[in-house]
Amino acid sequence: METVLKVVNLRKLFPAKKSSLFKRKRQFIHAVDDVSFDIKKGETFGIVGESGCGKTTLGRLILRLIEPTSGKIFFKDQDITSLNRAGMKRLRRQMQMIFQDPYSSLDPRKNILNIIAEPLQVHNIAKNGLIIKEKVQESLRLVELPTSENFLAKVPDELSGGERQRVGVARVLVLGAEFIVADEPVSMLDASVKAGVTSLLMGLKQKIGLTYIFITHEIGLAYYICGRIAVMYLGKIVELGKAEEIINEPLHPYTRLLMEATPPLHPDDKWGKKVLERGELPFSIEPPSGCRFHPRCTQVQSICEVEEPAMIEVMPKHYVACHYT
Amino acid sequence: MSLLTVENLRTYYFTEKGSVKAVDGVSFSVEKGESLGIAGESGCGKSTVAFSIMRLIKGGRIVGGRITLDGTPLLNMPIRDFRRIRWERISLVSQAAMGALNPVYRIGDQIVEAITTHTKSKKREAWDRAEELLRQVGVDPSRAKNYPHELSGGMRQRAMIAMALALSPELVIADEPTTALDMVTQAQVLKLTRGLQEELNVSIIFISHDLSILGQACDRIIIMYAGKIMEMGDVQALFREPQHPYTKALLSSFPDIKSTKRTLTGLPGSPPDLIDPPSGCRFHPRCSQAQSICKVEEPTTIEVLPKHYVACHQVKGAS
Repeated sequence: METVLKVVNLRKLFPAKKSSLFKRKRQFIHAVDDVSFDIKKGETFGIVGESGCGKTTLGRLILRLIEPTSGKIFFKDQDITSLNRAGMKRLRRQMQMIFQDPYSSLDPRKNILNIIAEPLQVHNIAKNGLIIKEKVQESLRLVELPTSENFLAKVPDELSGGERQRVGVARVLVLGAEFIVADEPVSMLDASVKAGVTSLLMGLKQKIGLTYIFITHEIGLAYYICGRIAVMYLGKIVELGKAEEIINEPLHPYTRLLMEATPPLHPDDKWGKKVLERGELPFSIEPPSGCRFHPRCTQVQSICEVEEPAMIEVMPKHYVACHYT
Repeated sequence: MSLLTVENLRTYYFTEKGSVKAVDGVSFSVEKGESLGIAGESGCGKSTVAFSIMRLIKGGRIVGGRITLDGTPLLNMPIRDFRRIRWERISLVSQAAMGALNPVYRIGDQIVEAITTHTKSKKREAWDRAEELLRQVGVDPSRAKNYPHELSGGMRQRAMIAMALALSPELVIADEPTTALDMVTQAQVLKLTRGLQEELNVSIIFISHDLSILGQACDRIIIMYAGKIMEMGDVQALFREPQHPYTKALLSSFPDIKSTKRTLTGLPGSPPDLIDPPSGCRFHPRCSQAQSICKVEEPTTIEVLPKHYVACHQVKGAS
């Protein structure tokens, strides 16, 4: 299969405020630190982690909504990190993002027609009102929303959360985008609506051949919809592999912790017992030395404090960054 | 006798467009030492039930029904007397731990204030008690001297739990206590709550939109939809043999890490407008099994299995 996206040693450091007047050393938040992976056409690639792990920053970097500190991103063999504004704009027709919050990502003063038509105008794809409307209606049909005049004239306030998120998807589809970064697209929706939007996204993938990066904090959701999953912790990928393998045989101690923390649906299946002792995400600007997970790890050895573990292929196509796996 | 009984509770909010029937005829009871879960999607009225019990409804009013604590009616009690019930006998842990704590007072001072306003304790004793409470919820007692912004989200939520337990209440209402927290922190806080509940033999009403959490944290579960109870039963029975079409649909919309992959189905449409709720059974517009009777007649709640109650025309009771 054709590789759609290739990320090589991607890094993003955000400068933090200097802590004192006399301290010369600048501190950096290592939001994304030396991340590499590639995605094949038609894949749903999950990025899973807790808040602050860098998953959203990674998604934004891939679309160059923010600039990387170092590293390269290739979209269909083209190095997009060196593209200028115009080049990037042209490419954005193919690479788009679906945002988390359907309440704040749509302009409240515009009606549905104008919201979905806006990308067409920005990218100079269509000028004729009739053609624009036709394209808007076509993408509304894809996301299973009504195409009536009445609906086109509505404003976001008149829609439910699920409908709004579908409008967000329509807005991406109207451009003919084929690569979509979905950043927690259903995390703000109610359970019954969430499942509907999720299956819509999966259906669209089959129907029009999309490739997704699906960013979520819910490892259970990622399991259901993703082919492969990358687990991130404090800016690094700690484990990467097939979804089934990650769920059924998690190898990195952090992945195991996440799995234990996820409640099984049925009360008969008991929740992990060890979760209580493992502390919280470290609250510091500079990450811990060595393996970033070592302060919370139950299997920690002295090497973990000093040396950063390399990513190794422990099983075919299953990568783990841990000294003891 | 049940610790708390709620009978035919109706709480409406009044807006320009009309009255929102947020809770419309809800009845249940909470036993001593029990953990009862209330599940439902946003707008189903689950938080309104909590605020009604605490008599903290804003922009609306309890228009009907009866709530009793140990047999004492709570709703017609003068508010001055009710303030003694609030926190001393029933306390609340709410969703936004940052918003619920006062940012300009130290954690310890806030717990001390809760204790000294309600009891005759001296400040010194109250401070010791605050430290003891923090230790109980797994926070280093020296943190009592910290301000809320100096604590992590998980620690703030633990501090809120400590405050809720400060006066040894008989009932704690936890309204989405872990929603804003990360997975690992959430699991830690839930385990803590469950442990404390068993240790202190306190009753808990646990409100959440997440059924998998309630499945782990509760003994019994109520499923609410559009201001009404659809199904109520023992946690095992409800998950193993859900009866109401809504409960079934809700369960099928959650991923389960212990099962093989399947498609999440969910439900068509979205929850109804409660200014003008659907006729008959409020769930009928989204129900796959709806018949003509469902549109016109509201189903009564029947006991289909021992202590397992369902309000649905299509579910036939054992009796």
